[in-house]
Amino acid sequence: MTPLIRLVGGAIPPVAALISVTHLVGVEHGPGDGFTAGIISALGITLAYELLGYHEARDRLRGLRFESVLGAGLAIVLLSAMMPLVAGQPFLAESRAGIHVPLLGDVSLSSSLLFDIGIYLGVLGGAMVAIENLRKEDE
Amino acid sequence: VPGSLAAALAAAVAIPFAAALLLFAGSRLWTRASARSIPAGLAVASAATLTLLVAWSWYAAALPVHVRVDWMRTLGIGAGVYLDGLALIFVVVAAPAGLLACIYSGRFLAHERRSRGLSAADATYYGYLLLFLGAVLGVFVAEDLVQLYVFWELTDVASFLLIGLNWRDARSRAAAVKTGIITAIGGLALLVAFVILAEAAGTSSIPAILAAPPAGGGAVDVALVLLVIAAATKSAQFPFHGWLPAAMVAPTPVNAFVDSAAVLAAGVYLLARFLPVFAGAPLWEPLVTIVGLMSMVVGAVLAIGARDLKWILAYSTISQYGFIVALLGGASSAGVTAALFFFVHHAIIKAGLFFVAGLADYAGGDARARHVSLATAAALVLALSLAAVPPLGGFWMKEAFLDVVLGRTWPLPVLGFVVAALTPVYVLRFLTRAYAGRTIDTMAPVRLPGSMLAPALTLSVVTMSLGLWPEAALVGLVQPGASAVTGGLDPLSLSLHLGPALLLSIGALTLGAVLFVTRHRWIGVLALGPAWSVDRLWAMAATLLTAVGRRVLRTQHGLLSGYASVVLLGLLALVVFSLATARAATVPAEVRVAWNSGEAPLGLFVILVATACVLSFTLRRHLQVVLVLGAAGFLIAGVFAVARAPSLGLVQVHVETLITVLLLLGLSRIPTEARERLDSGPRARMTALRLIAAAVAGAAAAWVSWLAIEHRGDRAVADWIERHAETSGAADPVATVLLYVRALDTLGEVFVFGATTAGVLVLVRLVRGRAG
Repeated sequence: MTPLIRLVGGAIPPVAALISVTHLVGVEHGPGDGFTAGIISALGITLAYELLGYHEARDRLRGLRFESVLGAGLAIVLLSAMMPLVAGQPFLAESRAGIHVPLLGDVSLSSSLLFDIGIYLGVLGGAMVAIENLRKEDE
Repeated sequence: VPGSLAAALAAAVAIPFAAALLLFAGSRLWTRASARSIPAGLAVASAATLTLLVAWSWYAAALPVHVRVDWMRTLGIGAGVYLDGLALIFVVVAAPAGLLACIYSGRFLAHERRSRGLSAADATYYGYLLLFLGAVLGVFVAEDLVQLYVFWELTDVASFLLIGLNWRDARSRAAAVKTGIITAIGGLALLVAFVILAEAAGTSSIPAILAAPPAGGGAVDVALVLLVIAAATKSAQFPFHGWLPAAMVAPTPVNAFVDSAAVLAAGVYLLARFLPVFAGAPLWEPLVTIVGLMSMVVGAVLAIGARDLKWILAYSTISQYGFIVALLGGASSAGVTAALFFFVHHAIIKAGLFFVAGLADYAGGDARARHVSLATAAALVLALSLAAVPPLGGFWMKEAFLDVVLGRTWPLPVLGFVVAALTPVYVLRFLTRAYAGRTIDTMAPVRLPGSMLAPALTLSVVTMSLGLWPEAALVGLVQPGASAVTGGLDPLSLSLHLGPALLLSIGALTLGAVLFVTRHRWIGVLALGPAWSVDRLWAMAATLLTAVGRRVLRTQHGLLSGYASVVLLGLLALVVFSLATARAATVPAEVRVAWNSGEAPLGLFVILVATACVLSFTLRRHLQVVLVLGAAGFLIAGVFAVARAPSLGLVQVHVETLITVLLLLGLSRIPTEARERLDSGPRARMTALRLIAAAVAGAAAAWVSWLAIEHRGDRAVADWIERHAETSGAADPVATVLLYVRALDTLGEVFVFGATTAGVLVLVRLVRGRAG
């Protein structure tokens, strides 16, 4: 394995994660898309598995249990769907608030972002659980 | 302060649920030493809190307390708290019983572990118990039919879990399943009854229905029958009584609380609650009275034949609840008062007797156990009270019963007298078996713990006091409850006068004593019992159910083509339905296909996709098929890109990549040898039928898509989008639709995705486990 491959393999997952974040927050006016973001992120990690070999790539991600990522995602989705109920609004109702972030200026935060983060984690976790379990043990 | 009272009652219902969740979630955190004390402490604390809340509402309530909030607004279904005199009785009985059971459980569980190998954790046990406590309180204070039903089913679940607590034991499992099925039948009956009732009354609010009951006849009579069935399953009344003796495999404090003061009480509560609605119907009196009478007789006879202490008590409970149900059949003001009076007394006595039975079990029948004299005293008081010996509480409950039924048709007083005479027989058998004075020399005598003695002694003191001051329960608790049901105040007299009721009581006691002494001469008759036992019917029903289940299971044959054809048939039915109901205007007038979308050749991509699809089923090797299908997917992404939907195309590329990777990984798991066999094996034949089915399904899908695209005549959707675009702050209509429509869709999808992943996980581990 050449140092170049090692470098690229190591860089792909974070880059993919960055790209996926732009999908997640939705750069072009519209709402974000947690589904696509999750898949991009999963594909990035899969690519790193291919380049570096499973064990080395997995070693860089140690401590990350994709079952837990999936579970956390589903929990966040449910939570953000139920939250409006507490405020007396219908299930899944969206609410937004403007906050001031130092470097970015005024940002409009929507509760659907939380929902999309949940979808993102759910899709990422689910895809990775499937991929990790379907791989051959010796690879 | 009705608002704060309602909040207190809602809290009383919520506290045990919260505590149960805490127990389930936190059980891993505790050390070995605290795994006993924390659950027990938490259970006792929350049961004590809710008992205090209930006591406060008893003290402070200006009845009825009534709060209703919207739950499912579009369906007109609400939720809330409704506490009138009737509900108060049941709450006031159930809450302290739950508390006593929690206190009693601590030491008893340790005993259950030693003697019966119970393996469930303490946290699990207390969690189930609290779940049950919350659910049953919820039943009693529910404001809405739907709310009541939900809590009703929750009690089913909790009692199923409690009975099956020792699930390693086959008897325990069988009992849980039996209880589960019988009470589930009742639950379904209740659901249908409530739907009919709500439809007929035009509301699902219980106080509203009680204020303006729907006119009887027709569907409402069906609701009546179903409601009585539901109550009978819950109260273990004939012919649904079979589950109660089986439930005796559960730990004794569960029996004391769940089976005598709560589950069975829920059935009686249901009857009393809706008595004003149905009592006018000619069906009510014969139906309810017969159910009660049958249970009285069957329960008493079986109790005499039973060998085990707890089984005697279980059958006795069936019999005693029969008295209550038979009284409710009369529906007169006096009848309801007597029924509720009977219920309160019986709950106290029976819970106490179960506690006593548990003590006897703990001592192992050893008369040398320390403090055994206290237990024996409690047993004597409670048992004699059940046998209606004056001046104990039970005497007054039988007096009230006889006083009322003397005015009714002959089977009631006659059978009432017979069963009242049979009661002392099984009570005396219970006593002789509980503390028979055996000494077991091989074992050191145990010391009966105070936490188990106290509940039994408390209840025996209560029943004694209620015997000396019978008016106490009547005036403070029962009469407000009865007047909440019937509207009138009843003239139930509790003075000791030489009337026919007193003579009958004395006669029954005497006859009972004689029967007990001479029991060896006639008890053989009971051996005939099994021949007409309802348990046989139950066994037949279970066999039938299993056979039906097998038949249903046959539809899961594992043939992919079979599943696919079912799905396609469903799709076809959907299309036919929508075409049949579609308005004529939606059928497109002209079919126009754009082969060229601006600069790029759309048609080329379409032809390529079609080619890839056709190619995929001519190829033999699975690897090739996967690759060709992947290519088709990427070509579709190209179609999107050309048709000016680049973001859609991007998503398609991502998804297609992931699917291809997953399929390849899946293929790689098939061993080479097996894959070669698959690749060279016979291909699925392309029969004419399959070809037609595929063509029809494809055409139908295309047709539906076309209809959807062309369906532009309706302004409703556009208006909806415009209305929401203003409030949502989304930039354009597409974003609005994404925000409002996509969310629910995505919610469903992500859970399907999670479930599928879990399926993969399970399958892979299953195979790995089998291989390794």
